[in-house]
Parts: sequence; C-alpha cells; structure tokens
Amino acid sequence: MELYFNAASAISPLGSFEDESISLLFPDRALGYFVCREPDYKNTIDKKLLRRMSKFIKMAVAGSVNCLSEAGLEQPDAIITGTGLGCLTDTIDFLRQMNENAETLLNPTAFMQSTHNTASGQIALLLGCKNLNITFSQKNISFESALLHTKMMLAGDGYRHILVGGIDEITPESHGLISQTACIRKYEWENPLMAGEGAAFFILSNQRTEKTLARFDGISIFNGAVTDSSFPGSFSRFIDERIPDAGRADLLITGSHPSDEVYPQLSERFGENKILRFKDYCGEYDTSTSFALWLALELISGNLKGSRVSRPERVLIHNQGSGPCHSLIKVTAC
Amino acid sequence: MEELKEKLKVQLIAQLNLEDITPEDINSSDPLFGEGLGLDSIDALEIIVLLQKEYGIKIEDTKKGKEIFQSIDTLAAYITENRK
Repeated sequence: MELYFNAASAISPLGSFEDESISLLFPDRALGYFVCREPDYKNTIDKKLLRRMSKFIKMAVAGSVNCLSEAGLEQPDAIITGTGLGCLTDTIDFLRQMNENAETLLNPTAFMQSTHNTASGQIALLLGCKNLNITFSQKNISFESALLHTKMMLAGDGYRHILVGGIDEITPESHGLISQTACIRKYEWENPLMAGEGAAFFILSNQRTEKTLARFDGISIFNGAVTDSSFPGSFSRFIDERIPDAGRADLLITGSHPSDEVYPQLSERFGENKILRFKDYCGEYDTSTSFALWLALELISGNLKGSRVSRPERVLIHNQGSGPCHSLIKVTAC
Repeated sequence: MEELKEKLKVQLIAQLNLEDITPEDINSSDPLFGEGLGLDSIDALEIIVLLQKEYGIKIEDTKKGKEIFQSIDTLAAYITENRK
C-alpha cells in the first residue's frame, strides 16, 4: 500500500508555519543551544486555554492545528506523537514544588501536564477528537516509533489520515543537565553539535490528494553495532538492505556528524554535495528526525530559501543519536 | 481588607497565569467563575492550594467552596475570618 505525506507543519529554530518564507540559514548559536522561533500562539489557540500551556504543549497544539488546516482536514483518524523527554517545563516545575513544599501543596496544573501523553491528549481535547491518541517515548527513536506505528495502522482497516508528529522542548535547566551527560556527542569541530528543540507534524495518509507533498517509501530503525572496521562500506551496504533504492537518493539528510564512525561511508556513498547535516539547523534532541522529515518535504516542495539543493526527487533521511540507534526514512516527490 | 483584596488579585493572576489581565481589570465583586474571569474547576484547585500555602487555610468542607470562591470580596472575607 502506498502512503503519502499530505501536509507538514513545523516550529523550529529556523522559524514556524506563520513565517511567510523560511530560509535555510544557521540559527544563532549564542545561547549555547537552539531555541525555536515560535509563532504567535494567540492566532491558533484560545487565550483561556493558552494560559495553562507550557511551550511544549503550545508547540504541539499549534503545529497540529496548522497541519490539519494545511491538509484540509477537521479531524484525523488518530493522533500519534513521539517525544523523548515530554513536558520538561511542567515536570521540572512539579518536581521543584515537591522539593520546596516537602511533597505537599502541589499545584494541579503542573502535575497534570507533566505526563508524556499531554500533547496528544491536549490536541485531541482541542479538536474534540475521540479517536485514538497515543504517545511513543523511545529516546532518540521516539518519532520514528510513532511513524512506524502510523504506517502499520494505515495498512489496517478504518484509517485514512493520521496526524503524526514529534515534539521536544529545551529549558535552561534541562540544557544544564544534558550538558553534564553524554546525551550530546562532543566534537572538536567548527560547528559543534548543540542541543535543540522543535515540533513537526504531518498528515500521513493512504490516499493521495491534490495537497500531497511526497510519497512515503519506508522507515527502518535499527539498534546495535552497524559498522565493522574490518568490512569497509558495511554501513553503506546496510542502508540498501534496509530500504530498497535508498542508495539512489538525490539527497541524504543526516543527523550524523563528520566525526561519527559512519559518516565517511555516507560521504563516500553519496558525495558531500548531496549531504545535508540537519542538526546544524535544529540542534540535537530526541525527536529531531521529525525536523529532518519536515526539511525533506519542504525541499521537495521547493519552499525553502537559501538552500544549495534545489527540489530533490528522492530524499533519504538518516539519524543517529547518542546511543547505538540508527534510523532511515525515505520520501519521494510525486 | 482593601489591601488584602489587591494582594489576592496579584496572587490569582500569577497563580492562574491570567495573561493580559492586570489587578485593575478585576472588579472585587465580579464572579470569578463562569462569567467574569471565567475560571474553571482546575483553577478552583489552584486557589485551594494558594489559600493553604499563603494563608494557612485548609478548606475542609468542599461544599463551601462555591460560596467562598464567588468573588475577590468573598475570598478576602473568608481569609480574614479564618487566617491562622
């Protein structure tokens, strides 16, 4: 069964759906981590609801509402999101209150909104959508897991258009903690990898419409050692095994860094001029692949300014987080 | 009492994150729930926590809540009578 991306909407350090045009320029690095250029949420979300929402929820709800509007849909058949760390602001707020008030006198809002499924739940509430809503939280393959699940659901009966997305937020506190861990790979490089955040939503459908952006060719997630130093080109061959024709992509959008073990193989296979390192634009976060997918669809549609790549036909997205997980997604213009 | 009412307005705005509302926008006799500020049941829980935290007042009988939370005037009166 063929699947299609019929809409895409994102809030990222490059800008949001509210901007007239988005340029592929390196965001400001002064803060030490990338933050989103957010839209005016009052244009999308009722003021009375907005006051209780953290940035995480605002990004998720506004991104979803815009994505549905782009697709011309009022209700999706399901809402499936991925997040690595969930609602950090509310979680930190709740934990701080627990600590300061000796586990008493806790404010209900931060508690209620500190669960990972808050985004899907809030989107469903706002839309009045009684269909399935679910959240995948699988570290740096959270979005990929959500997308894989969406693909499987669309292969079954009763589903036509599913809203799928990835969201993660960064706060000064979480950045402080992340910096002390091995969550972000550290490199001696001109543009070292920095933490980031973002929200990207898509309508994945088993029906092609006049709004279709691209065909979804496949997704593959793999965990464990995928390179063998005694077997040159092993990762490159691995890609072909996972997704047919993956190696014929016009563009590789990768989350790997030149210092990563697999990067030389990718460089040799695709050539540097066909590689776009997406984390230079959004930073490292668990659901950054959702940004990469949005980037791929925008490039295929020719919507991004300042890109050295003009309207690729076939795009392969590869991501690698701090752990041993790799993922591949392929989309083709149609 | 007037000083307490003004303090309550500031505290409610902060606690309930009432964006774009200033203490001057809140009339002490206006209803807090439904019309007026349009607060809801989650806000009621937030106010219960606020009363306990800031004024040491624990509302034992929840049925009284509707009466107490009617307006800034009724809240201030209840705090004045029950403050520890």
